[in-house]
Amino acid sequence: MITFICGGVRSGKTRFAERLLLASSCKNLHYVATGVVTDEEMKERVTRHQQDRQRSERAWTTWEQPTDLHELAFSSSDAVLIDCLTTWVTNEMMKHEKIPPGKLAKGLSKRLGKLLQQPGDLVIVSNDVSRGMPSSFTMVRDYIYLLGQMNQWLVKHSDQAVEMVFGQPYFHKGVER
Amino acid sequence: MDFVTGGAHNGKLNWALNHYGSKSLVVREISEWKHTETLVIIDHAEQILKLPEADAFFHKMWEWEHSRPDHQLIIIGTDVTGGIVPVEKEHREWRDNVGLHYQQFIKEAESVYRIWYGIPQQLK
Repeated sequence: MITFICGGVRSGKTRFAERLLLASSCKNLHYVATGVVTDEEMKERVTRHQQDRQRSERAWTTWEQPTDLHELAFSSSDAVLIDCLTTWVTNEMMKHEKIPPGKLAKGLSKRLGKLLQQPGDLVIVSNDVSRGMPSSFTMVRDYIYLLGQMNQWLVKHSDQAVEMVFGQPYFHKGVER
Repeated sequence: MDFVTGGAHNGKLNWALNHYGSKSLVVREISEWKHTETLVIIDHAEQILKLPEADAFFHKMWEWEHSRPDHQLIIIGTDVTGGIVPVEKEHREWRDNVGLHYQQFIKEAESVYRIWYGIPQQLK
């Protein structure tokens, strides 16, 4: 089962994703962190998420993978949470500055495609940054385009697509069980 | 008239072309409009709303649609109202103007859809 979760900042995306995975019948739980700790604020966010998982009723294996998600290998007994697509796309964009956004979008979806079918259950968390004013910076516009393409691609390839609205999940695809 | 909205890069136009038929005339700029008997899709209404002649244009389109029962108009507008307040006054005014016009479009529309990464949600 592939689940895509998207929503604004502090909308409870990770919490809902963890709840889904705790209910998974897969033997092993994996948490893939794509964020890189660069400052105090990020450190606080990471610590908070870590503490949540330590208090969890099941054991988690944590992977720190800022780029190259396709290098991870999972099997059908694994339930995997990728948190989150947004930072992964940022990191890949920084790494491949010279690749035009359209080409990068194709390359990144191909990489994600390799990962998609491996785990028994997969939950991917992403952000919605698409409803603001158009930016005057090319890089920001490219980023919103790239993230939009990736989000659309994932919605298409997911069994469930969920929009988080301040803690309330709305199922655009699939139904809540 | 149908109104289609949603964030930037959410697949609004692709959805509309699939839903209403790809043979429609897609108008992104006022100058691209020509009299047609097919379906007309106005894409990026938020950009057209920057122009002083926007109201006259939308009024003309509305009249075209109502002049014959088989004329159908689809307006696609990107939602630009969900971010932080812009620093520049001009941008704030544009954003307000977009929001107010979308309210008017939704009031007059037969059907309204919000597209979320390729998936439609019918609001009206």
